[in-house]
Amino acid sequence: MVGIPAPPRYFRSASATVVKLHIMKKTLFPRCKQWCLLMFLALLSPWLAVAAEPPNIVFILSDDHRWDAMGVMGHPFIDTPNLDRIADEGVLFENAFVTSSLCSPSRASFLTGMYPQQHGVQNNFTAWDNSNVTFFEYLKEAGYNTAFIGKWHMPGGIPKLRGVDEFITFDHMGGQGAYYGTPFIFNGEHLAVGESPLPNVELSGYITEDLTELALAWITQNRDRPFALYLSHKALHLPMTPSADWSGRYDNEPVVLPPEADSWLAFADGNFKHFLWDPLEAKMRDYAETAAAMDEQIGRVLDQLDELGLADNTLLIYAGDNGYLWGEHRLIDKRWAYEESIRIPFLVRYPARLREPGRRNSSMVLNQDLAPTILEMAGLAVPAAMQGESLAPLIDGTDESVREAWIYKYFEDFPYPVPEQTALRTDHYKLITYKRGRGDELFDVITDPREQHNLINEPAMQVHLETMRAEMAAQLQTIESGSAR
Amino acid sequence: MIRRFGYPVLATLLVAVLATLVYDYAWIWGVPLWLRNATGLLLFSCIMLSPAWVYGLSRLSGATWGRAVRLALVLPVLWHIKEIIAACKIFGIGPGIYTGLQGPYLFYYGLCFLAMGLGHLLVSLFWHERSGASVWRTPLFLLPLITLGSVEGLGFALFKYDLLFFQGFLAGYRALFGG
Repeated sequence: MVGIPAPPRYFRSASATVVKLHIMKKTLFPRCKQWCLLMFLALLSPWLAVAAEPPNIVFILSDDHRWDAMGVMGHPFIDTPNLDRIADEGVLFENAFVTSSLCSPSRASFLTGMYPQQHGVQNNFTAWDNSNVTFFEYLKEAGYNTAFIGKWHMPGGIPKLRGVDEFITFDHMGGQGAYYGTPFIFNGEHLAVGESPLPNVELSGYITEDLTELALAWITQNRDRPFALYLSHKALHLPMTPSADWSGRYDNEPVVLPPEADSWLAFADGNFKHFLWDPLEAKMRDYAETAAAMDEQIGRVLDQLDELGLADNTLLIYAGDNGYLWGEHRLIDKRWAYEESIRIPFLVRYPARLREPGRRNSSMVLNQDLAPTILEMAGLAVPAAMQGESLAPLIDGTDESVREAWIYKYFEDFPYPVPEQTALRTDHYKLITYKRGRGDELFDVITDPREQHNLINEPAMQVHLETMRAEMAAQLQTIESGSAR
Repeated sequence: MIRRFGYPVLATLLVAVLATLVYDYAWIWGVPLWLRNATGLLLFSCIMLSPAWVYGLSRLSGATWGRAVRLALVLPVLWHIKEIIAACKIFGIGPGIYTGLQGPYLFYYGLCFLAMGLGHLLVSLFWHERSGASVWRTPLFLLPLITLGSVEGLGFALFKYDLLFFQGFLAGYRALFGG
């Protein structure tokens, strides 16, 4: 639990500029040049006004969207023109990760800026502790209008989330929701199936469209004040049902499985517990269609921001809550510390502040970086308790990297047949240790990005291995003690 | 000395073991996908459907129905034990064994008995055609699936409580192991 920080310092950068210019005027410029200076300031005034306004914030979160399932990341057939557009107009973080590859822990990290060891949501069965402070509280304190629309999916029931004006969510199917026929909960009130939480919003019944409709209506309602919207999709989670428009569009696309995979892998070695009852290729096509259907809806949000003239001063961030294994290592689902499971899409667009749109950043960023990033971009102080790093310097292009190594942790989630594991990921290597059931693994993620060659017993790696073990122990101690970063 | 009604189950076990080896490891040697898919289909057919043919062939080879049932359960029980051992490696011995009680495994046995019922029906019809023997109709092979389905269905319909798959199963886990 942390306190609410000091009031916002929206005008810091703009006012600092004005003060500097004022000093220059008093000491350096002859009086006759004051008019020139005033004209210069007048010319700058539109820019200063934009910089001084706190940005609107739109965070869009998807479920199980792995980092490479987008056109901009070179996927052979998934159409994501709108995500690609965000990347083209913003920054694409190519090496974004989650610190625990599972819905609930990851979602709590996005909201709190903390590791699961600190916010306490360690798997899909451990409850959300509502004494956790989310970035919404700080934004609300700073005068933002706020809304959470979509999938909450953390155990312990739907909380009264502090700092959120409108909380539209669902607890249907254990919080997973369904692609069709999910009844909403609006600020704690359970609504009937098909009943809209917001007036004048027609629901189609397909959840990705409905959540988008609600988001668009809410943005329109709140266009005149700084707002922060958290739009949390059910897509692309199982059963990976695309909208009717998108269903079947990729039926003829060739799906290439990883070399170690086969069509029946969803039935093998405990994978059947994920209830993915199809040949792998068929389900991968469903996944692709569901992703494309979601992208279309994200395009509607972008269009709405454009139409309302809000796009320039809106910080828009898109991310996935975890990756997804499609047969790599002969595994399905997420949870594991392998790259396909822990890497997520992470796109940031903020036209008013971004200098080089279309930039790609390859440094390692994490899901818990979201909260400090939002706060810093909004001109607010980042609380010391937040363990993530603000990505503002990376977005601005003033820095290239915010960390050299980080800890991944998957807590046992009985009865899912995945061993508890901890990993240390650096730019070059990944060390994975298992509580039981498997031997430790060390991979060179540069030369062996598919993590096929375990180096743990290589004599040449032993010194480096010991260094990594020591670093892992030190970082774990820091995280578990609650120390920041 | 193996009696002749033991041959079906032995042959099935042999096929299942060979299919497992190919299915799990042949990708390392670059065996083509279609062949691995075919062995996968064979393996999962052995696991899911072999009670039908093991029961039927054992009966045709002279086994009593009780013995045929036991023979037909050999592969399912071995597969179940393999699953439990895998779970023990992940969760420890106690929770690993408890994992074996989860709904999917219970329903799996229900399906095995259903498959045996199919085998039984085919054998009875065959005997009826050959010698005019009466067809022994019995609901026994359906009973496990009906019982499990009723328990799960009623729990869900009346209390919105899933007893066997997650909610009830996890409540039992927490009660036993404090997870």
